[in-house]
Amino acid sequence: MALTRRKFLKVSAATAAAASIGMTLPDVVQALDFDSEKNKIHWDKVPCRFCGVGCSVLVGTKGNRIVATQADPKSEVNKGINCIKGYFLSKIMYGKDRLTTPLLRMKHGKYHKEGEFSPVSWDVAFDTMAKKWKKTLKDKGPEAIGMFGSGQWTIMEGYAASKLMKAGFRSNNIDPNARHCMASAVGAFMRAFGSDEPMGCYDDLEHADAFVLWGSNMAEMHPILWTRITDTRLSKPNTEVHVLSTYRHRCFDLGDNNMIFTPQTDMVILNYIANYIIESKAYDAQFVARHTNFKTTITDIGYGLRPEHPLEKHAKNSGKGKLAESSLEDYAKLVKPYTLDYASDMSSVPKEQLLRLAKLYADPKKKITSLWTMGFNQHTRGVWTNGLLYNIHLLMGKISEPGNSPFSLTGQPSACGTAREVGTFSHRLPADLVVKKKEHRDFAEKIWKLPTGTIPAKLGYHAVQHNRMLKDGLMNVYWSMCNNNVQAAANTHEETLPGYRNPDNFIVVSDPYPTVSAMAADLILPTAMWVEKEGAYGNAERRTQVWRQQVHAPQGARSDLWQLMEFSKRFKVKEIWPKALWNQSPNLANKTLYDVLYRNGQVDQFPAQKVSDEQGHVYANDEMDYFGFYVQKGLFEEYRLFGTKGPKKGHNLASFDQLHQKRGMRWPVVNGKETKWRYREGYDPFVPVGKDLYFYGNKDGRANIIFAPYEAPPEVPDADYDLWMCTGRVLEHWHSGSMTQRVPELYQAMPDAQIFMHPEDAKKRGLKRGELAKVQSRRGEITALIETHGRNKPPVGLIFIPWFDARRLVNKLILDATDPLSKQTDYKKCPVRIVKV
Amino acid sequence: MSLDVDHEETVGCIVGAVVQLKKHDCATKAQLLTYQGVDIHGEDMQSRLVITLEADDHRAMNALTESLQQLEGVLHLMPVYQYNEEQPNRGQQRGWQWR
Repeated sequence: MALTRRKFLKVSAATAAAASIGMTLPDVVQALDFDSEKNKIHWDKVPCRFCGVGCSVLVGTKGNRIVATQADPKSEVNKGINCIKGYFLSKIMYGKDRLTTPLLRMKHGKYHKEGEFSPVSWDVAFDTMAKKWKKTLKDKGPEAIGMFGSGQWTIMEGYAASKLMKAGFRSNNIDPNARHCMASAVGAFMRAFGSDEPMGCYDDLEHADAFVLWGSNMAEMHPILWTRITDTRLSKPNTEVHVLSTYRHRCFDLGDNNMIFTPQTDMVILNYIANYIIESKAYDAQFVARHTNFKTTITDIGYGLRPEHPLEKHAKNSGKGKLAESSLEDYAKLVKPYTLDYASDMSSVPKEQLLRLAKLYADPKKKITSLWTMGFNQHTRGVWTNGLLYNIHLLMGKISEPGNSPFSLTGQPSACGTAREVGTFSHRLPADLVVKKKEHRDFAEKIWKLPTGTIPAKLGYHAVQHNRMLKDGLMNVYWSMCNNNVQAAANTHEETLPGYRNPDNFIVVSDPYPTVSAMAADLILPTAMWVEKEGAYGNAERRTQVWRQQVHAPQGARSDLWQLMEFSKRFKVKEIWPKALWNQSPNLANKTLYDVLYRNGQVDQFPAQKVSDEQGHVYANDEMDYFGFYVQKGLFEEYRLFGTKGPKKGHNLASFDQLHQKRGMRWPVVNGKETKWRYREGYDPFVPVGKDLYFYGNKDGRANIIFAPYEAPPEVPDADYDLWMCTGRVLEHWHSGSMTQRVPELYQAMPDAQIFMHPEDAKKRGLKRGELAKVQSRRGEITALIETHGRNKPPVGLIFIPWFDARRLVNKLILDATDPLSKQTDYKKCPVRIVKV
Repeated sequence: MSLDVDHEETVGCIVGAVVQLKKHDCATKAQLLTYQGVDIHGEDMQSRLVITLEADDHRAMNALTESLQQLEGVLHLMPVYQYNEEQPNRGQQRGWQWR
């Protein structure tokens, strides 16, 4: 039977779609068989490049080009389904303005801050950088250098960067863009459980009886997980979905109890639920007595602004996070004022809806999975708010078992794997270790085979502080990789750009494309991306996934890993370390940082080899070819020692080779077995026999229930700026759009950021749908089109604008106020006004 | 079945997708089939349809997908498989420039 290509491809498409929901179609030809046999396409598994869900995607390679993608039917995460971004993944690498040569600002053949970008060789680029780095180290010391990294770095890249900064240059001024994304979640995990990352996993989405979304538009931001929730809601009787948000979005289509609340009053609602549980005596007294401690947090802590800001001066306990011992009785008194009437008045949510939600949490028979993302994290009380939700789950004992799960969703593909687990934050080291503890530094130095005292004890500058220090001229050389912070950071014109363009500073941006940040830099380095290198990501459910290199980067572009390691060759230990330090091991003096950090007999222990799969297909590995050893494997296996031998237990990762065989594994992995639910006997091998439940991140094995009150946001709408503005993402675009805006289908689907607003608000201002309007805050203005009938439907008094659009830098309107504990910016509550153009 | 294939034909865009209906609903199925390029290949007990979409280029595919997503009876449409023979560099945002 002769078939047309069209027919074959249709059959392939239908088969793949059917497989994704476990359906078989009659008379079909397997897509993979057809494609690989007839079109000579080679398929391999790769984790998606975008969000924190961590879907596995099959990528089809023909020659040196990715020509097709398909959701991976064997993936436990996405079970054969892709979202629209994952589905167009193959195209992110083929933007027409892909960078292929370093570009240095030059005048008359030399670097000049005000010069034009001119192509230079990698040697000239690195020599120029090294000169600036050495001068800065000599003149001002390690505290004047900085690096901004990413939750989109591979695990090995983040690890190599952290080593280079903390041990090589001896500066803790490295921070990832996860500071804008997950820092509040991290802070709350550490305060409540003494160990970062969720206790549950995605399997909870099939086990739960009810789902509660707190400030998360999963339908657009985590669409695959939303599909799993949809399946459960529609197929399992009596399942409920409760959605809380400051505006109506696509999740409301499935919601049984949809609540729009006044910004910041999520804290009031959470404390009301706790109060309801206590007053109705619904709490699990035995669980509370055996597994929890009660604490209160210090209050009036400011907003993470500069110390001279009036709001900081006014705060009694600016930046403090001290906890005090408390008791159930004290806690009951503290939550008592949070009555149903008060919660409804403050939040504007009708009483019957709040009561329904409180009763749900208080029902011991209902298994509840609570989910949240940026609504909780990008919050000036983000750590507190995350904690208030843990309080509810802990009071009811609804935690660490199938279906009962407070689950912090992650934004980026490796915010967990790279930023959090590797510890690329300015205060952290791998596997939950921190730079301020000598015991932890000592351990890291031992693993890294470095002299005692190499890693500085002083906390580095966090991401928001980076921009302030660049502006103030206290940090002078800065390398930004794998992100676009000029577009992402808040208060762009007052706090970000002045530092980038400060004549005393030298800014380097590594990126595949000429982003806003790249164009604000002094040197741009062209970067290999995603499957142009071998790598690993860690997703929101603690799943580590490894992939092989599928294609070569365009000639001239190099991976971040290559850049970090190659740059390290330009520094000799005796040039940049104090003599007292290298004198401990005098043989180090004439070695380069490359020798000390990456050729230490451990990272370079695996010789160059052929990377092949079970079918014998051989894959490229450009870094291995260049450096002469299996770089990714060596870095990963050294990093893994922090989990297997480190002072904090429960961070064991699977081996590099084992991960290559699987669709990822959830840590802790012990004896080849992953852990689905942490802290629970029978699931987690670190729980002592007979303990049933043991929060071993804390010394006493108990979790902390921490009372925190409602505190107001730093700015609220007033007569001059009468609307709330919330920024965020949309389904089609990833973060600042530097990749997805170069995929024709995604660009066409959503080319411009719009102002989503209520029709009454538009009418009141004489505006119509499709008209241009100016959005103004105290820090600037942007122009965009009005949308009153779009997918997001804000209430009267609030607008939503996505931030992916480089032509409208909406985050420049936002105040750089942060949670004082997590240092994460609040992007969700900015007073603005809208005027006609 | 033989797999002899005519390799000369140009196919444009072909997409395989799953459509989740709000409920079992023949009217929405009939509505879907009124769109040129849409075929329904199967349906399961949870009111999920397996469909393919065909269009000459990505613009037409976008318009088609968007139209289907807007249908009253459609809860969501999840694309699973894509094949595209277009020029890859059309219709992108240009590199960012200060202005």
